[in-house]
Amino acid sequence: LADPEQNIEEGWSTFAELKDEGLVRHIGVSNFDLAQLERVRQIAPVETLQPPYSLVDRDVEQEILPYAEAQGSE
Amino acid sequence: VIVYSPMGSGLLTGRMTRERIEHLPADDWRSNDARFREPELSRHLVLVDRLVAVAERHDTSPGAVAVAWALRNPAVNGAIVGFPPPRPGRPDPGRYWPSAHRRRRGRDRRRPGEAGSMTVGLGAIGSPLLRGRAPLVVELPDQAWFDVELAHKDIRLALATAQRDGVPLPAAGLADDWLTTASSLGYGHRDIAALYAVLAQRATTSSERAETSASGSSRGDV
Repeated sequence: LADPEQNIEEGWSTFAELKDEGLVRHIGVSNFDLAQLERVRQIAPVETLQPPYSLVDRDVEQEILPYAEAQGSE
Repeated sequence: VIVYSPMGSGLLTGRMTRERIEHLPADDWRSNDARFREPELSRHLVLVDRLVAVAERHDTSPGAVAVAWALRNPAVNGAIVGFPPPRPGRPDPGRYWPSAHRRRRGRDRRRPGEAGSMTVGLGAIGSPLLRGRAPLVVELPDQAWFDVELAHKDIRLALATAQRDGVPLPAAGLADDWLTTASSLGYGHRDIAALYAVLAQRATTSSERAETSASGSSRGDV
């Protein structure tokens, strides 16, 4: 799920259903901030997160990466 | 966590000079990206100089150092990288990634088929996917990037959906057949690059068969 501007609850619920039906193996999100991660986590666990990260783009070091490490997310 | 743009959308490859950035085509989204404009740009170009120095010490590329930097964070499990399209005279972009393009000790001999698969990448059908797979076609790795059975699952889902909606998908049908063949030949858990090997085997078999029947030999069907 890569567009945080859309209705992420609806999108994430659909992803969770696809996983339950065995149509996909893993579900994850991209470009989400901490609040959005917390929102979708209520519906189903976030297995993988895909943020931008480089020497010139270090925003995720503030909250996202420590959060992911604490959650043990892949 | 799998991060993207570990080389800053090309900024950290060492090939992005101030001059090149100033002359980026207007339709290149990076010309409007804050990272590629002042005041950030000067700071980033200083960083690139330092990456170049580190890369020289380790006989690698600045881009590889940038990727290594992103991977060193304990929360990061992987990094997504992209390569520019290959062009004659440009160094092989995969050469610093030994798993993508294995270095052969003491020699740099290209295997049969390698030049051909690279050439396909330069043509009109040379999608990034096909280009990225060229080295795997030449030397099928033990560990798959994306295996035959996974691809087959996707094709079956597409065909089932298409059938339900009454949409013909002849190419997917062909793919279904060839993926079945690949699995039956034991390639189920190999990378989908194995399809080339399957096609090559079948091509050999059918030309032998044609020869056999043309010569009127009594040799049985292969």
